[in-house]
Amino acid sequence: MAPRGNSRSRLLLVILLVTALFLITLDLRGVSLISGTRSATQTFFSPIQSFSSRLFAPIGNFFSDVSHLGRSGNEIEALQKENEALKAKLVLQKDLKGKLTQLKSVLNLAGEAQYKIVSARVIARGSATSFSQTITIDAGSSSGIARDMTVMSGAGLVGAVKSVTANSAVILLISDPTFRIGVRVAGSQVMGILSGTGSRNFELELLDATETVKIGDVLLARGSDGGKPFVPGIPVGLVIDVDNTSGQLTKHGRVSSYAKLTSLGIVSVVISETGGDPRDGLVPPKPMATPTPTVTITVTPTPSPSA
Amino acid sequence: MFTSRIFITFGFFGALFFIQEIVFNQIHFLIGGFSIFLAVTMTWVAMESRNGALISGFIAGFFLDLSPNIDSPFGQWTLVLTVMAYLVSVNREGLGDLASRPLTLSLIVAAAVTITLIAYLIASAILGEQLISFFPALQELTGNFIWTLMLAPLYMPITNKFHQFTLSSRDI
Repeated sequence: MAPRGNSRSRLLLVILLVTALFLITLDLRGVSLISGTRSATQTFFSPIQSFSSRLFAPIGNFFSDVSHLGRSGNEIEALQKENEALKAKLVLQKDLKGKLTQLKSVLNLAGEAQYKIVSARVIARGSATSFSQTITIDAGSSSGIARDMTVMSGAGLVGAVKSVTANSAVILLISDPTFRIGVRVAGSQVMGILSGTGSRNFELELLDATETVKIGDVLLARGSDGGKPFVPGIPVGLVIDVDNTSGQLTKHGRVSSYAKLTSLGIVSVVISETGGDPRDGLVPPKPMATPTPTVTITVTPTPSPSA
Repeated sequence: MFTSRIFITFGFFGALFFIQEIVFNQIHFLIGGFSIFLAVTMTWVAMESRNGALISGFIAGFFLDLSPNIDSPFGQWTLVLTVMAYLVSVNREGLGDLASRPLTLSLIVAAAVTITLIAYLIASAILGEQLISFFPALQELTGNFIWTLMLAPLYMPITNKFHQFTLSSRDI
């Protein structure tokens, strides 16, 4: 016979599992109390995350700092503190400079396409427990941001607004496995569907099996009805690999993103588009080939002493 | 006693969730990610009695479900962590007092965190959610295992001390 404690544990396990399943059912049925809980958490956390992101922005030295905690000595400590403060200042300046560059490039791109945008700082990344690729920004519905709006960086498409509170918004990144976007190839106008894979590269599936794409083709967002969730013409990525095997129902390729999704500091949310479809006007210029310096060495024979 | 214990556990995991969301979500870890929340939860659960582990797992899962970054249905983490807490508490019983064997505890916690993430993926598949592709998932799991193991000397003694201070003398 099982001990009494064990049967009590099993009973408790069953009760807790049933409660968890009950919560899942309520959520899947769309009970507003459950769905509202997460947005309440986001509303609570966003101002604190905004503050802490400033505090933790220069985190490059985090692990090395931790490994040096054991060192002692007042003089060394004082000098180290001074050194660290100067370094932190330098890193902060570099960080600000980087953010300024990102803001400038995103404003340039939005200006060319005549998009009305709201720029915001990235204050958090998706949790390691979620397997989903998201970021949180410090602007929300009070700045005019709504669900399903396009999010871009200076290089191109970043993702779409997933949820919004008054002062923050969660952005689903283009690399998320659930992300799908209709794209067209700049120039040839071949259309396809781009899917996130959870990694840096995405999957491209052409809609017409008779069409072809080639490595180096630029993909632009095809646009959605009313510009939501995607405004047309934003650069999405570059084709880096093509599977043009004949006899397949659809043709596939791999695409690398224009936007550097791992180092986003400033992003912009497209509030409205005033200039219509920019067509291929936003295709990024091809990188200029760096000239290779040629060094010519002429060997001059040393006159022999006997001559 | 029972109420005060739940209250303490609730407060502990609330604070832990706060730290995860405010501090650790700002850090971009190499290879894969690191979840201080899962690591500490598994350490806590490994030191608990069976019933205590079950309640701790349930509360921890509830907090994780509150995270705005998570796409899964509310309750999925509660389900996964309740089951995992039960499995960890049942399997660790034969190993005796783990608090005096930090290396064994570190390995158990790292393995438990990895299995928890796999269980979460399986639950996502059962609930019909879109899954991450194989290699990024493998990278995420490997990264989590390595970071949980590597950072164990930092979070484990604190968790252990806090657990001893608050709960060891009490039982449900």
